[in-house]
Amino acid sequence: MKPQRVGVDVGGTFTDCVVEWADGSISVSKSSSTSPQSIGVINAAGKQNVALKDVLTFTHGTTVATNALIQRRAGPAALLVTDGYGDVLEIQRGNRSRLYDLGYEKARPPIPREDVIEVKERLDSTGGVVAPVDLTEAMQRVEGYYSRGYRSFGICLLFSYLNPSHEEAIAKAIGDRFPDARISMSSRVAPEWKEFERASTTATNAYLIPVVSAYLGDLRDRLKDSGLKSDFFVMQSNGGVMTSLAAESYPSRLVRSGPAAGARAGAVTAAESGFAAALSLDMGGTSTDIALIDDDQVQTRHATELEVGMPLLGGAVDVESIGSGGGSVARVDEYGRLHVGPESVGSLPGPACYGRGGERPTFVDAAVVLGWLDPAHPLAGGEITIDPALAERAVSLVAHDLGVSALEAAAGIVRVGLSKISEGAHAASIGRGRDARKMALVAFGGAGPLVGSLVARELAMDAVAVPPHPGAHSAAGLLLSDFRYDFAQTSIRRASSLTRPELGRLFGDLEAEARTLLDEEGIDREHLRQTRSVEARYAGQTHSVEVILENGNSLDPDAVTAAFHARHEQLYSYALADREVELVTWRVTAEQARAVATAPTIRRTSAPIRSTRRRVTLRLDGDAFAASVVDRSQLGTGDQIAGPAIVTQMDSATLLVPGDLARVDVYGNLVIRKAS
Amino acid sequence: MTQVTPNAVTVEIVRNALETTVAEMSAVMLRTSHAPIFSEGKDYSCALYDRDGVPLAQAHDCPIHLANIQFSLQRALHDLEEGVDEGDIVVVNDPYLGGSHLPDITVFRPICVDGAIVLYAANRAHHVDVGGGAPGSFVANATEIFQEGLRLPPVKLYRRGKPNTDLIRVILKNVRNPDYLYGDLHAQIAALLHADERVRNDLVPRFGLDTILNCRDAILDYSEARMRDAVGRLKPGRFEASDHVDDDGIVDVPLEIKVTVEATNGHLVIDFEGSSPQAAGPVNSVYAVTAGAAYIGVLNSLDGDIPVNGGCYRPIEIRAPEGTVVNPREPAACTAGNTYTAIRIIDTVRRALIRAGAPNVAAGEGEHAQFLAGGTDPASHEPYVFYEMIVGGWGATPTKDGENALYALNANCENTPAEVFETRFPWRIRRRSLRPNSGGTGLHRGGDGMLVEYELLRGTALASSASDRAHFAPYGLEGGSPGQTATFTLIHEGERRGLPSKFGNLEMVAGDVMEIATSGGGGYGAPVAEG
Repeated sequence: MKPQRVGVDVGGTFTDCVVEWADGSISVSKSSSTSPQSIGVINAAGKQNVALKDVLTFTHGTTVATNALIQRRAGPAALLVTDGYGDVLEIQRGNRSRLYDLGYEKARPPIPREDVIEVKERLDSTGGVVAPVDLTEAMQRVEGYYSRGYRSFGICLLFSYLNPSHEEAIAKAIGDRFPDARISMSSRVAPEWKEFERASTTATNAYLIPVVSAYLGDLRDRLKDSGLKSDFFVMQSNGGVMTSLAAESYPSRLVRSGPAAGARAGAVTAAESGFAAALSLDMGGTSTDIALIDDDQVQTRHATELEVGMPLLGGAVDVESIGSGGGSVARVDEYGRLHVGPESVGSLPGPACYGRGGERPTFVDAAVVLGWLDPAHPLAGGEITIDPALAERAVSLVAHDLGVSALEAAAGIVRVGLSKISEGAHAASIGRGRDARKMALVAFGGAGPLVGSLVARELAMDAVAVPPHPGAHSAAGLLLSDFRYDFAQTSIRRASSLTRPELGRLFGDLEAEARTLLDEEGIDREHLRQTRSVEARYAGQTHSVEVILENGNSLDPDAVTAAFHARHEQLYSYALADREVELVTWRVTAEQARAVATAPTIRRTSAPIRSTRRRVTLRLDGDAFAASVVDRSQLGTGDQIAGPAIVTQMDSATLLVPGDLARVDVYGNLVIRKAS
Repeated sequence: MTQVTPNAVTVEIVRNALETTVAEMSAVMLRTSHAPIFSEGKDYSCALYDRDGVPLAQAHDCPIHLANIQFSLQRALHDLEEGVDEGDIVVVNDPYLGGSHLPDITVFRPICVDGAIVLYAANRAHHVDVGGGAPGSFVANATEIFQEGLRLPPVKLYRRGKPNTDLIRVILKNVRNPDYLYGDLHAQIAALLHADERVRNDLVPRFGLDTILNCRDAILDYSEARMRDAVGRLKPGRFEASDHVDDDGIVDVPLEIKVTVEATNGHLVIDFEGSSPQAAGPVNSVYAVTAGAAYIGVLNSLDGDIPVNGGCYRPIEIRAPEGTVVNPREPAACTAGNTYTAIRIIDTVRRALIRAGAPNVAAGEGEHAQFLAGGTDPASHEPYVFYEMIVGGWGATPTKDGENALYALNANCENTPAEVFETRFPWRIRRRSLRPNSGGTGLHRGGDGMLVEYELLRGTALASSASDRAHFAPYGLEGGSPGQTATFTLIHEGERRGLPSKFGNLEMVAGDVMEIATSGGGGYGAPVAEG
């Protein structure tokens, strides 16, 4: 059979590969990640006997950009900035992430001060020219860097989001003189106001280009050698994909792509299960990522921050990251306080129960002591077996310090770990003005299905959906993502004096930009979906609120103003109807579906569920329950399982608590509700 | 009712919930605020208090606010004869009733369950202008608080859910930028409402009120125990330190901050006996500011990881003699006491604690300068006021150089981007760079301060500076040299004129440039000889 679509997601430990075959069936594999990642990508496809020549779309999620940035192992690159602002990356915003730390260290800029060039030029706050750009001096400096091997240059000049002509003049001068130089212009990378944020984004982009373009180029060659006929696609931070060629020019857009793929997959699962609003909960070894899905869309923000002092403008999935995962370490300090995380055992040695030399008690060890994981079922496709005796020994350390039994300690550890996740889920939903009670929780990642039902109960959520392959769901997200490009323009207008033609021009320009880019990339525009939005505020406010506009009335100034008041009221429970409204940054998101939705693939079984094959004892809130263990691979559409139960599978285990009723839907998702 | 001691697990869960609640308050404030100092500058703070006004959980906001909102709250609860009812919101900014300085407006609201007050939500925000004798309400030559702006004792902004519109009209008539103030007050209220909702509709149903109240004690006791142990590790005996504020802006005489610390059996006394008498100008630090600054010095020096709440403060006793620059009598002017005097108190307390063997050590901090100006933009005919904080460099530590360009320990704001600033005001920031070599030399160098040039483009403006460290440099340690002092220069038609660190209502005309160079941090250790 021929493979249709392939998604390969590279993580710190495993490379996950999801293949959709010609008959619509899905297969999943896990293999160890490699260095360079490209070898593992090819291996992963090989493991499933995928003939790359037959593949229609190949999508890749990579951590190359993220890791290079975290470890500051990219570059070299130089940054050109307006005269007088050469220290912009050092000064940052003057704030810090720790309040009481005399040894605090600011984020180290991706481009050090000695690689920043001040250019004589100046624009004013309307984009007017105060001083023309001195190209001669700028080029002298650029030549010096070029001769020392620099091939990547960023340009970020003040007010270039209003008037890019100075940046373009420099870019042209560099391009004419050095055709092999790669140039990142802030007016292209992130045409939004606030010079530090824009400079940080531009510098990061320029810094990452040498590493990311080398990596993607290498992978492209390998895929081509293996038979892949078309360009491949790369996951971005905004939850959409772009072509690998575009990714070479905009690597700063990949930095938060890991959580984005998961959130995107969560949105698809929510839609399949019939929920327009949901939280996706991706719980891994060290952390849990929670994202809000509203109206079937993953919620995004327009900036993200890898660390304080290193912001990145551009669309990014709005993820609440909690330092609580399966490998979070539990310890009791000398004052009797129980800590769970943020310290984690990592993939090696891993939790004590994995028997790989770990001795410290973790969240997973506590879950094992409580009987939430069945030792008879190995994890990670058979690579990890669980030893309950080791889990109990580790948890006993905490039990001893707290002066309680191992069972009580285990119950305490999971409750503390869960409370952090529940609080994160709260912040991601109610904290953002949304009612969690009407939402589903899409639980995945290795440990997500274990906690999904409990977190949903804590927030009184409606239901939990566990996708068919929870441990590789991020890779599945790669298959399910559309092209997505975000376009923005800061141009401050007052609502009272705004006209319909002006609105048409503002959005029209952005949409024309979108069409041009898609055409350049050779992307078919047949199903193009463009969403207009504007960041608006009450006159005088600095912080703005994004208002997504209905295409029907997005050119009607009154409707735009009304939509802002309504949005403000929804978010903050007040609106100032008589106040002037300012519209600040205009946005268009262009999404192009890559393929029609997959047909349901899970067969209906007629055989009764063999759920009672094994029974284990499950402990919850101090009570013990006899629970059945169900093999998920035996389940078909329409099958139902009542909690308490454990549903096991190759890469995860789903915990059903008493009162839960889970049903397999036509897509193979396990949808858990409270039994009525 | 029997008191049940909650177990360690329950305490952690309640702690997580309280901490998320204050973080959410802070997020609501940010997204609804108006003025740049507030929304870009993040000069505001949110916290939750028990029914006695003791801090329970605080957001990652501004240290000096977080350390002293409690004094306003406690004093208001004591003073409000009619009491506080469900649905009330109290507003207060009086520095002599537990406040810090007039621009910092505090609001709080009782959170009630079944008609009984169980907690208080409170926040404090620095408003751009609260009236008084200069735009931005930093009145460099003020000699009485009456010149510094509108003064609010604790009064009801909302009474049982209904806004006190008379009061709001009075407030708005007394400030230069009523739109900002009105909007930002709304942001403060929105944050209180969020906390109220969260506690009543989520925390209480989930955990039960008794559990939350029982956890309160455990949360406070934990922080107290850690602080007591940290204090217990200090050397026995009395240790002194002294530093100076340049002058009070009226009389050119330095003001001494004198600190003696003594730790005995886990109890730390910080005594300001010997500090200068209260000043004529606005440099006076009211008691709440002095205590808050001392707390910040202790947290930084002894253990910055203690969860900060009222428990941390239990082992610390502050003695500030009345009538001094660290505890003035009314009606002394005091706006700047919350800025550089507070920073100086933190630095001096730290220095005394270093001598007492504190584990966390850094040389003296360069500090942020405060530059304010206002006028009417001839292009738009709209009045404007801005408040810029230009940060200094941090002191070096025994293991590393000081950081360049960071807010001092009392604050954790964010500078306003030049692109936002120039869009809003008829000014241009010609240069915003580090100030080379302004950090002290040493084995480890002090961090550099900044060099910023503000050019007035149109019309005229009245400019003020409420800054310091122009005479007394941030100290070096163990042979490291002090950081450079700050300078203030007016450039008028090409001519440079040096200004003091404190000036008020200086008239600037189009084309004038104000150049501000902030102080660098002190160095640590004798420099290693070259070559």
